[in-house]
Amino acid sequence: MKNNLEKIRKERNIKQEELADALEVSRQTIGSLENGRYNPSILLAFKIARYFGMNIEDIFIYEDEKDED
Amino acid sequence: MNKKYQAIVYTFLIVTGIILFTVGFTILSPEEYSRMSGVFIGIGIGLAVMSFSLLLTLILNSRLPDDIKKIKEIEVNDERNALIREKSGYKTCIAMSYVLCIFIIAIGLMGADLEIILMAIAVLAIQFILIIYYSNKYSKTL
Repeated sequence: MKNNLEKIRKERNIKQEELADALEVSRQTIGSLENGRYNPSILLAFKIARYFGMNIEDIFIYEDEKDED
Repeated sequence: MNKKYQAIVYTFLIVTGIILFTVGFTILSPEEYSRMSGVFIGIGIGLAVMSFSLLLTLILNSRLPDDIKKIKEIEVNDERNALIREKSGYKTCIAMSYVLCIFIIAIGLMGADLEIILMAIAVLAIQFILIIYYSNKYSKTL
């Protein structure tokens, strides 16, 4: 699953550490999310969307597994 | 489990360990009950040292500054870290099953006593029973 997290975060001049603190996750988790190595739980996805005042679909882009190949 | 209760349990375990160690050394003199004395001393030392280290960790953690405590709490509760712990635990369990199988075959080939081989097989059986138990439990609750 792709996401626009890094782009949105940088647009708002927020550091990874600040975002991690606000979401109560580790900075490594934010890094992994931005790199697409880790897909968040639905709970964390909602927290991220709420933090930025956006919809989940605006941040995370669902792709069929066939499309990802 | 709250920290006060944890501290009481660890203290109780330390005292139990010391008592077992003392009994192993004094009442069960090594000449008369050498095997029993060894078991008491071994369990006593293990229990006391393990409980003492857990109690010490608990005390040191409670004295940490609030900001460090919060960072530690985040690290423990972080969902990615939890997933890493679960995955690494599962992989370790699978690897240990193979290691135990090889160990059982090896001690069998080395001509170990049947009791020892059966004990090793029991460890493997307990592992499989636990896997089935927890798989059933979590398939119902998750």
